[in-house]
Amino acid sequence: MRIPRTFGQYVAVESPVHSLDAKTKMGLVAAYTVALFTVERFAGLGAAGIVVIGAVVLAQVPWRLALRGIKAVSVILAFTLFAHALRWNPATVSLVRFGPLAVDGEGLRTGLFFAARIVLLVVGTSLLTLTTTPVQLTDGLERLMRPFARFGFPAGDVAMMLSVALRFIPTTAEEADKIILAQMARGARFDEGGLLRRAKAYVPVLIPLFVNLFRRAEELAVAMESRCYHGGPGRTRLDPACMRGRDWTVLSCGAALLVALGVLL
Amino acid sequence: MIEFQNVSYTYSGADVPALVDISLRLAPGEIVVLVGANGSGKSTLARLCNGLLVPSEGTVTVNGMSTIDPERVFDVRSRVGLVLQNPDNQIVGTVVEEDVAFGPENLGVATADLRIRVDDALAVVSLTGMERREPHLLSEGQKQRLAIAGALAMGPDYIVFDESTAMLDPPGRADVLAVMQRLRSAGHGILHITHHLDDAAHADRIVALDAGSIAFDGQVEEFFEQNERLSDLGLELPPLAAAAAYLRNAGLVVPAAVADARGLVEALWPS
Ligand SMILES: Nc1ncnc2c1ncn2[C@@H]1O[C@H](COP(=O)(O)OP(=O)(O)O)[C@@H](O)[C@H]1O
Ligand SMILES: [Mg+2]
Repeated sequence: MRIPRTFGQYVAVESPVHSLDAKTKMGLVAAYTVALFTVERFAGLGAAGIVVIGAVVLAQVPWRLALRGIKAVSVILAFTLFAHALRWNPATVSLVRFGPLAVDGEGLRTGLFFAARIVLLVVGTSLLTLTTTPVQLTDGLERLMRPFARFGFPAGDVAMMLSVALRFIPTTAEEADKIILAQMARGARFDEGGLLRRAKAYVPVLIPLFVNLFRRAEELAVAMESRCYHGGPGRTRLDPACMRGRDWTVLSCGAALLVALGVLL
Repeated sequence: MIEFQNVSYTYSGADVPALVDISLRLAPGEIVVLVGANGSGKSTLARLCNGLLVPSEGTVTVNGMSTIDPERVFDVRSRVGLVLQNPDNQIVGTVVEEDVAFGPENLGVATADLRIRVDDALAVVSLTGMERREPHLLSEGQKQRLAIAGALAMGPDYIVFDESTAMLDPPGRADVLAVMQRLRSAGHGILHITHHLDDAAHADRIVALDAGSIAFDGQVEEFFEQNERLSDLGLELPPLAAAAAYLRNAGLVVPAAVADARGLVEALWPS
């Protein structure tokens, strides 16, 4: 049994995409999402697909990782496809019929369109976390949240919280694996019975996991305080994230292209 | 100099003090090993060193600065690094260099200097070349050396290790002990808290805590000679020192604290 740890799984290579500022990439992902939801034709999705393929190749991210997110939404994909394509005893002409069950040509088209849109959305957005370290992401978020600091919003603390949470995902997943193995060694079964029974089987995993998390949190607080963390202003950065000329060029050209794509196709 | 003067500490809500009337000194360039049973107050003492806890009675000073002084909190913490037992719980960054930079970033060190500090600290712990590695992909020994680099990057004079070798395999432990030696040579004062008396072989001095009080403060050799007291303190002589004790009881002249088996052999049969 493996706990997935896709989120925040950064691929450490040097590429033109990696070197872009996190805010640039967030802006592009936002424009890309808007474009995906405004295109009305397959040609539009095809164009978006070309953009994503280009981005994955440029980013030198292995396809296996770039496409991994699709597995998580496979149920939604299947549901989208079937809900649109299948008809029960339709009066209209159908593509294929199995008794009362029929595949509707128009519905299949729509289903494929929506499914392709979900796939493109997942691959495109996961590219952001694959090419940006969680710290760069949270730094970017902090910068975007900074205007709200004026109204007393603790932007720095929130960014640090997010960053630490992301940092502890792999550690926690490893620990959960260990506890699951330990419980299995004592005869616990996680693959038996209905949904409720399976969910219940995880209670003896979650309790020690949470107890350990609290212990970790306490020690982490000691470690962070020992290293002079104070949550106040005046923190400097090893990699100060700043928008360079290249970022502005890529952001404005990319966003313009994506918006044009959304409007025209 | 880290100096404890008649320090007592009681946790809020506790009936008995965790530390009673501790007076202690740690000078630059020396390794002091601190031993004691579970609950004897070792971690409490460690946290008093950098002002995470402040004494209920008495004073702790670091290079003359009192840890109670609110103006000096960050001065004190950057002078005294603290490395804990479980490396997983003290690594904040998602890649190695980000983690090392965490301390000096908090201190507001300028970006150009940050890079120098990170490179220097990683060189001391032999992790150069791993800058972009994710911490959870490192071995336990490497993680612990990363935690040391994180403390070093603040530019401390002293480093307190709170059972930092307890979770490591023998090679990982040897690496961390070697780093401590290197730090001592570079003039850092080291307080090494441990359960293993064999770690004392490399120490300049040993301090033993018993139920919150200092039961011994002096030479390692002298401490090992009083081996009947050790079991009262919840400690056990390492095999080599136990062998030396038996030999001494049998009337042979060997040192009570030897660093390795060869030392013992040479004491018996000088070449
Ligand atoms: N946060 C706390 N609150 C109350 N009592 C504590 C706390 N931490 C430690 N103690 C108590 O203080 C004593 C010394 O603990 P500690 O310094 O952790 O010992 P050691 O590190 O030698 O095992 C123990 O009796 C322990 O139960
Ligand atoms: Mg302790």
